Amino acid sequence: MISALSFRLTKRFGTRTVLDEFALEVHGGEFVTFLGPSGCGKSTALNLLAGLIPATSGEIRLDGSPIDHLPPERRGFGMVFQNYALFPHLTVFDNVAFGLALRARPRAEIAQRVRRMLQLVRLTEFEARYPSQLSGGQQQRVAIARALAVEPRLLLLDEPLSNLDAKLRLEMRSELKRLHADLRLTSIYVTHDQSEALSLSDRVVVLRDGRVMQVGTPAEIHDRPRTRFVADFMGYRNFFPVTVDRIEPGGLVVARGKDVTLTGRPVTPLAPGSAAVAAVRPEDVELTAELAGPNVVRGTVRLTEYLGREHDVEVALDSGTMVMARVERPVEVGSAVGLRLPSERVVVLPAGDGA
Amino acid sequence: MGRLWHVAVYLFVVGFVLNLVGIVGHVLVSSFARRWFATPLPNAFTTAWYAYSWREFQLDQVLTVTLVVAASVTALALGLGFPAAYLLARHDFRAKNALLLLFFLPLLIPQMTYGIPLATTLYRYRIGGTVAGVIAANLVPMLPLAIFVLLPFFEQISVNLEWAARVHGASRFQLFRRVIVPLAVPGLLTAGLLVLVTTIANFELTFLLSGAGSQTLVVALYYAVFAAGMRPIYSVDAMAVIYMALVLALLVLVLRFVRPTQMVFRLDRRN
Repeated sequence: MISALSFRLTKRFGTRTVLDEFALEVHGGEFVTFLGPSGCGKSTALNLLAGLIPATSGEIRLDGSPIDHLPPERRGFGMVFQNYALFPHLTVFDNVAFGLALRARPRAEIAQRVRRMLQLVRLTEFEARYPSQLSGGQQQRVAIARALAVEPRLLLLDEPLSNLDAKLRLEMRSELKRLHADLRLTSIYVTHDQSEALSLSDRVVVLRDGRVMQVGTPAEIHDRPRTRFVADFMGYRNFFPVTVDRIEPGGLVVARGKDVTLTGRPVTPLAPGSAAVAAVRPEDVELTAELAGPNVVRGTVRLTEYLGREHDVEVALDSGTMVMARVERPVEVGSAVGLRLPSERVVVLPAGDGA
Repeated sequence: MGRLWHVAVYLFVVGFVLNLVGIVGHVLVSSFARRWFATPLPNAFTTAWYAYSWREFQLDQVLTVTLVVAASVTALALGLGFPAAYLLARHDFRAKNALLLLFFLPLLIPQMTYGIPLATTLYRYRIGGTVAGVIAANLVPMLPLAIFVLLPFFEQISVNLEWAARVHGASRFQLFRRVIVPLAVPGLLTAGLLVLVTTIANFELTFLLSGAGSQTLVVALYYAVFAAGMRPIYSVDAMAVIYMALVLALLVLVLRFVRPTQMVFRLDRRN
């Protein structure tokens, strides 16, 4: 078990900077997720850590000693790939045994450890099969067993659930959660799926264009996004450009926009008079009988989408601004509604997208 | 109409097969004939012509040369083609398509066009006329052939497989030994057999480069037919049968491993 991994990495492909001074400290046993849209550099960061591609500059330290000079096979990591990357010419058993066989462990020890790993991912009866004879979920479980078998100092997971269908993805997510709870392996997980990041991680790093936008616990990232980009990624759909009016004694901010005057929580200190963006999730918007008042906007229902338990509603405000709401009781298209944006659910972010 | 068409196709196939059987059969029968003149079949049969041609044409030596040449060309084409095809499959560079086209040229243009200047050059360096010269000349089209057959096999091995092997402890060498080579076996087999058969069947380049002690079977056959002097036709037929049997045996072997419809040269980029 390692006690700390720290790195600072820059990667350029030609003139394109894919990672710009991406620095982080990961504690032993921690599960850290790199979250971001495709092209944000998250997978590149993982490949740099694994030593599969060379960094343009920077360094990686494991328990204080630099490992940049080590080739991938001498870093002692395990890695799980999006497309499983199982060896098609080897059985499930030999796939899992791959790393151990290379380390020239005794045959009996290898067999014992492989069986234990297969037990861990619940594939004991499949050890004689070839990868092509397994379903996608089973293949990914073999890939996980292969990575765990080498007792990795660090486990790297590159979008391991992206190739699975929705139901299987949820199952595997719980399975990964269980494995991490059992083994406490220091893990770095790359995904573009915010729900995966929130449910699995101890800490989430939101990346954009090779830069860190925010680092925090899932709850921090979810409830206190610091930029509009992070908020957008975390499911905030309604953004109102506002100007900060005043700061209330409790710390709440009163901000004025063309649609509404809102009270909300600031995530960074904001000076009165400065430009800001108020953001709120569709799930947090409430229908109200009032048509005016603090934190209330008024508009006409344009579109409703039935989701089973709830309805997604698109409301056009008088100014033309669209507000998305997720509500429990049906509303009719064309009807006038009032929407309350609860002040404890409204976050006020600085305008612009400064990191 | 459809019926008529069927009959026509049927007749054509029968005619084609009869023709083939006629030609091959004639040579085969003649090689076993004591003598064969105006009769439908020879009056007496013998295997003496095989012994005669084996002695007369030094077939033990010719066959040895043929196998040495074929085996050497195959080994060299695979040995050099393997790393070349691997690098071409793994790296994209600006001149790649131009380079591939350049490699393709010896396979496209008639061998005589470059065979003669090649022979002139090799004779100047005293390699011409030797077994080494024959091997070198045959490598000119065979190395590109090996590369083109191997290339798609490497391209379909995902880079992620290599990465997975490396991360979990494989050095570069172990990566090749445990992952790349085992996965490339079908490709190596395909390329190897194709090069082997093509080299044994190659006439022009071997003809241009071979001297007295470095003739392969085809070239020896040609000289047996056309060189000055009188030889019993039956002995030449016996030699032709030996050549046919060799090529046929190899062809059967090849078709066991290679499906011709699978042979697709891919020049486009991956993904």
